[in-house]
Amino acid sequence: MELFIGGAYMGKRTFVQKRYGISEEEIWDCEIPTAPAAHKSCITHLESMVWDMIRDGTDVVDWFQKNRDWWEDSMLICRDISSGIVPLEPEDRKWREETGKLLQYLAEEAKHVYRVFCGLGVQIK
Amino acid sequence: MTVFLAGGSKSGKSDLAQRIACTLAAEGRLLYLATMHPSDEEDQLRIQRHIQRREGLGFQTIERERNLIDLVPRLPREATVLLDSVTALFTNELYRPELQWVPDPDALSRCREGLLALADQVQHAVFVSDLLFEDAIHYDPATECFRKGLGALSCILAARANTVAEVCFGLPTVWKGELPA
Repeated sequence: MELFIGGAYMGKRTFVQKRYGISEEEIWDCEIPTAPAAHKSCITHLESMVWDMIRDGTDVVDWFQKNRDWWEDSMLICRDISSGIVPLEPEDRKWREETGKLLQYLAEEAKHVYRVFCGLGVQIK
Repeated sequence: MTVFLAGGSKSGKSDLAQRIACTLAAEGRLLYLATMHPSDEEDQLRIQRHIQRREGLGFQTIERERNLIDLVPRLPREATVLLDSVTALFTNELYRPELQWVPDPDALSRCREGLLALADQVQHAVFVSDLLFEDAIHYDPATECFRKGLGALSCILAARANTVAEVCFGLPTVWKGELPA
């Protein structure tokens, strides 16, 4: 698994698509509410999935640990929402925390981790 | 050459941009493109502070809040232009009084055209922009539209630039190319 993190609208998906020649069809977008595909080479907007899981009462890291098949051979893209002011809304705070925990777990599991900034990437693992 | 600098509030990006622009211009023409629209006293003070900080550096200031594309052909080819900031320019283009501050869907394309034309027109262009992409707040659609547009412009300018750096309290981390010595 390869992990790509970066701020919102920083060109993460385009970076991955260009670098690895990934087509739109090979991408699973967690922002689009449909049933998870069996296998996709790239999964994006994990932060959106975290948001939905919190709403459903699912333990995020636990789910990822139990469903390795779904992601372990994929490229995973997630928005970095870790900076800025502590959110005023409890739901946003929970979202930030759970996304952070998930990214710590995935960064540990990943072969390589890249941080993407304005469409440019740097390998941090 | 084209330089793109992005950083948080008070990151020292403007000072660094001024030093870079002076280095690039050497003895040549140095223009400062000020894009901020002052909406209150606080903004006026900020502008005064910026003016003071570039005093004696040899900049000729041009104030331009919108429609960069109309200005670009009049800029001398040999000039070095520092545009501070992309954030303010996009803000002014996105929220226009005649549209009752409803986000203008054409703002992004106007900014892109203007900024890229500027980079093509002059010898050296230095662009300054803000970073506001890493927090965990669900914004209202109008604000999110602003973040999305500024993110897109950042990627476009970073792709066009020879040098891209993230500025943190005056210290640059170079993401692409090299900073002029």
